[in-house]
Order: sequence, then C-alpha cells, then structure tokens
Amino acid sequence: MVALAGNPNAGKTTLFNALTGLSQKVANYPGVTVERKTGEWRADGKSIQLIDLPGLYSLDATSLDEHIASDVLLGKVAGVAKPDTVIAVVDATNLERNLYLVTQLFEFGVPVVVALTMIDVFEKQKHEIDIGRLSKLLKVPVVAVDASEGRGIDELADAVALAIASPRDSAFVAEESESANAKIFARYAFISEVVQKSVKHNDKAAHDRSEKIDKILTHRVFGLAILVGVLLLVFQAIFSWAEVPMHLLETGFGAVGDAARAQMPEGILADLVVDGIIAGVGGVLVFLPQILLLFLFISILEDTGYMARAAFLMDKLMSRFGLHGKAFLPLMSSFACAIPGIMATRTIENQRDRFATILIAPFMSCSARLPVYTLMIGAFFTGQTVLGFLSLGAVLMLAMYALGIVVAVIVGFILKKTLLSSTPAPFVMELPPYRMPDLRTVLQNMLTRAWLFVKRAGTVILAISIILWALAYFPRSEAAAAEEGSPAVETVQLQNSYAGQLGHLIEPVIQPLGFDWKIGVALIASFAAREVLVSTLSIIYNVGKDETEESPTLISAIKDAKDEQGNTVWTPLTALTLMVFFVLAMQCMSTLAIVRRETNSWRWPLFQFAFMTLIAYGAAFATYQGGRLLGLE
Amino acid sequence: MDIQVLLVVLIVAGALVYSASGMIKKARAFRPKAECGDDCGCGSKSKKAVQ
Repeated sequence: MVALAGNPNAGKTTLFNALTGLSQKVANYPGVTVERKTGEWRADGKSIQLIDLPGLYSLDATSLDEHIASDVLLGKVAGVAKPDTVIAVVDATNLERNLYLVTQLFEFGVPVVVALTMIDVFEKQKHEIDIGRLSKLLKVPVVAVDASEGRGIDELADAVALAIASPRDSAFVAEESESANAKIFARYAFISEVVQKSVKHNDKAAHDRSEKIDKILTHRVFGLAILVGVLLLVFQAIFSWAEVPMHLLETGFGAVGDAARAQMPEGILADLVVDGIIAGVGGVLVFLPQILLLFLFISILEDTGYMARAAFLMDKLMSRFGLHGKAFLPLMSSFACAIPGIMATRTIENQRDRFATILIAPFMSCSARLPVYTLMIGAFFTGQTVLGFLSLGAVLMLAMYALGIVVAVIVGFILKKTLLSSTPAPFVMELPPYRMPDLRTVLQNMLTRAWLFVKRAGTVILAISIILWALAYFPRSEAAAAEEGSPAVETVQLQNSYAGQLGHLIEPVIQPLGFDWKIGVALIASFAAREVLVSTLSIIYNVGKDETEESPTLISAIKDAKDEQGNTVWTPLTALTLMVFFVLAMQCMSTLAIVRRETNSWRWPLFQFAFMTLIAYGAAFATYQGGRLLGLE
Repeated sequence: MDIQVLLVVLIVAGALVYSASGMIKKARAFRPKAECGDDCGCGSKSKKAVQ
C-alpha cells in the first residue's frame, strides 16, 4: 500500500489519476463524510494499491482531514492497511510551504518519496533546483514528475521500490518536548537550510529587495506607523476626490426632485415620488463615488501584496489577545461586509475560536457604515485640519475604523478568557510576492462592489424608503389635509405620523445620547440595512419641509434642523456620538440571520445583539455626556 | 378613491410585499441544514459526521 499526500493544488489528483488510470474507487472513510480515493498502480508488472490522502497543509490533527490522514499513516483506520511508503507530492513553486508537510511525514516512520511537480513553472520564474542535492539533504528519493505528460512516472516507481527495500533514517525529527510553536520554528529552520542549499534564485536582487521591504513593512513599530499612514492617505483621498462628484450627484438629485414636483400635479403621488423615492434612494446613491474609491484602494492594496503584510501585522496584535491567527482573514473580509466575513470563519477548525471570531466580526466597519460616517463628517468636520496638513475628516474616519478593531480585540480577549476559552492553535502565514496591481482585476473588483451598492439602492433601499415615507406621511390629520404645505402644520403632521409616534416612544431612551425622535426613527429603520439611516433622515427632513422650498441637501437639512423649542438638534458632538454608536451597534438584520445559521442556535445571535447594543449605547453615552462635560457641545 | 391615492396605495403595498418576501427568502436561505448538530454550526463538521 502506497499513500499519496500533499498540499491542496500541488498536483496530487493529477498524479493519482495518471498512476491509477481507470482503476479508481471512491468511498468514504468509515463513519465520516471525508472522501477516500483508492486505486491500483501497475508498475513494472507489479500491482501497487494506492490511497489518496485528503489535501493537507500540515498533520497537526486540528481538522478532520488531518486527523484522518494521521490515522491512515499510523494504520489506525479500519479496512485500510498501514502504508509501506508515502509519496509526498511537492509543488516546486511553493517549496517551503510544501516541505512543511514532508517534515511531518518523516515522523510517522514510513519511507517517504518526494514527487516534485510544477518544475517547468518554477524554472520559468528564473529559479533552479538541484534535485540530487535536495534528495541528499532530505535523505529521501526526490523525483521530478509531470503527470499530465507522463514524465517521471517510471522513475517514481523505481524510487518507491527502493524506498521500501532500503528505508533510510529521517533527515528531521522534531523534539517531542518542544512546544507547538517551537516545533514550527524548528521545522522552518530545517526547511530554510534545505532550500538555501538546493535552490538557486537567479532573481536574487528582486528577492532581496522584497525581503528588505518586508523587514520595514512588517516591523512592529515602523510597519504599524506605515499602515496608519497608508490608511490616512486612503481616507483623505476618498474625501477630497469624492467631493466634486458627490456634490454633483447631490445637486442632480435635488434638481430631479424639483423637476418632478414641477411636472407632476400637486398631491400625494408627487409627495411620494419626491420626498420618498428620490430623497430616499438619491440620499444613498450620492455616496457612490466614495464607495468606488474605497474599493479602488482596497483592490490596489490587495493586488500589490500589501494587504497580506497588514494582515501579518494585525495578526501579531490579535494573537497577543488570544485570537486565532486564522481569524484575521474573516475579520478583514468584514470590512467589506460582515456576512462573507462570518462565512469565511469556516476555515477555523476550533469551534470556540470560530465562534469568538463570528461574535466580533460585525465590529469591523463595513462599507454600509461609510455613508453614515461620511454624512456626519461632511456636515460637521469638513475644512478642518489636524497638525496643519491632515484632514480632520480622514483622521475621524481612521479613528472609527480603529475603534471597531480595538473593541473587537478587547471583546475577543474577554470571550476567549471566559465563555470560549481554548488553547491557541499554531498558525503560519504565507506572504505573497510584491507585484504591480493588475488594472483589470482592480477595476473589476471596484465595479462589482459598486454594482452591488447601486443594486441595493434600487431594490431594498427603494422598498424601505417607500415604506418609511408612508410611515412618516400617515395618518393625515384634517389640518394637514386642509393646509397642505404649511410649515407649521407639516411639522405637527410629521410628529403625529406613525414614524413620529414610534420615534417619540423611544426618545426617552436615546435622549441621553443627544438624539431626538427623528434620529430614533432612523436608528430603528437602519436595522434593515445601515445605509437606510441616511435615506430615512433624507425622507424625514423632506417630508417635514415647506413645500415651496427647494429640496435642501441632506447636509444643510441636518445643520439647520431645530427641535420643537427651536434649539439646534445636531451639533458636532451629536454627529460624533452617532458615529460611535454606528461603529459598535449590531444594526444589521442580515448579519444576525447568518450568525443564526452559522452557529445553528438563536442563543449566539441574541447574545451578540445584546452585548453589541449595550457596548454601543455605553460608548455613545460616554462620548456625548463626556463631551458635554468637557464643554464640547 | 382618487387615482393618485390608488397609485400610492399600490406602490406602498408593492414595497411591503417586496420587503416581506425578501425577509421570508432570507429566513429560508439562512435556515440551518438538517444534518448540522446542535450548536456546532454548519461550518464545522457535524457531530454525526465526526462520530
């Protein structure tokens, strides 16, 4: 019996197919849903039973696949004989990562033969590999194979026969007494030595340059400072570059609303179209330029390889707080949207680590929060600078993103120390090479995201805008019907509307945060989707205005808003408080639904909703009341 | 009934039906799979499968 082991995408299946041809059998391992592929390999007239192990990066036995592979190698699986040899399929283009598994295979006491794949690609990348030296250093036969062309198959058969006939001592065995992390370092130290002695990089200058750049970009102090600088630049560019197109869109939607009102006969239908549909959908769509720019920068940072370095830096920080290294990528995805982020936690094998990541993922500022931040910053913090050159808006935006990360880390730390405690699993991260961003990929990513945003505005947000308009418009009082358009009557009408009644109902709870009932209505509505806060405010301020006025921009409506006593509703402190609340609150029905599915329980999403709302309320309260005490209002 | 009121009623009803159907679809899509063990989450291997 010969087992075939290797990393996913190393060419293991192609080799298995080439060796076994049509004599394959597919079944499950006993009692589990992991597929078991076996076949017959006819070599030199002899029949060899071949078993294809699941694709693995390591044999740490933290996932089901790794458990099964270990059990097969130890001969513990019922109905599967202990292999006489293991063929380790190694992708030459990812030699270090692939050899990690090989060093673990050495410890099973089974002869190993290395089948080296992707040699042609490796050589095209200006590298050379000394196979004889590699074999000597690893103390196992190494055979270059090209399964699709059938090259190296006979040599592989000879090597397998030789390995069975005369097994050699292992080149590497980790000390049993060592900790998991120490074992990883020992393995990589061995691998690094082997690779240095057997591989020649003809692009050494580029390789050295990349290493030098990494030393700075992943440095615990300089790296972090550069990351903050990059993010500040991105936010500053988002604000300044998006200003003109946003203003054009805002003026455009205002003009469309005015034109629609002028063309349509006066009445309820014109009110719905102008104050409900155009104000609601237009209020959200004006943020399209910022969404486009945000995803343009994210795509560029990803494509150049910088995002992986940022991930590496943040992973260092998170692991100090007991969070699993694999948590970083789901958390990173959550900056676009928490839903794919939460689904990406499926890669985390340990259930407690996975649940801890799910519970903190919505703290990451998703793109739906961007319109809320921008509206508040645009209304109260534009044209101001910090240190004379940094835009206050960009600094505040960075502060909101940072607040989400810091609170997530703290909550994660508390969860890992209490409800979800478990020993941290070792984690290795691979840094991709630096490269020039591909224009097509970058544009494609940006346009896909933009299309999702526009689609959402044209469907979900349109429907919610219409419903909210109806809630803010009905029931019509007799006075409103008789004196339609009078500002005083419209204000009373809005207060007595269904939305007004709902807002007044929750006003006592949100008053300590500096929010009035109109903001309360927007908060409730934004539970359907965060950006609905913007459309709700747009609708409420449009419905409540004098009909002879031109459609105001939302920013000017917010700045001019007065309460019943004639006091200003919005101040910079109210705006800051609302932003803090939005960073931390679980204002997303879809996220709760996905948490329900991923945890298979209502307990976790309800717990998450409760603790996030409490934290958001507490932080918003501290911001507003603290600000007032400091005389910031 | 005024034609404008009728149109508004139809549009608002349409929006309500659209939102409600969206929520029902979401609820169905997010329903956990039957083979997932209690509290294990669909991403992890089900208890049944591991045993």
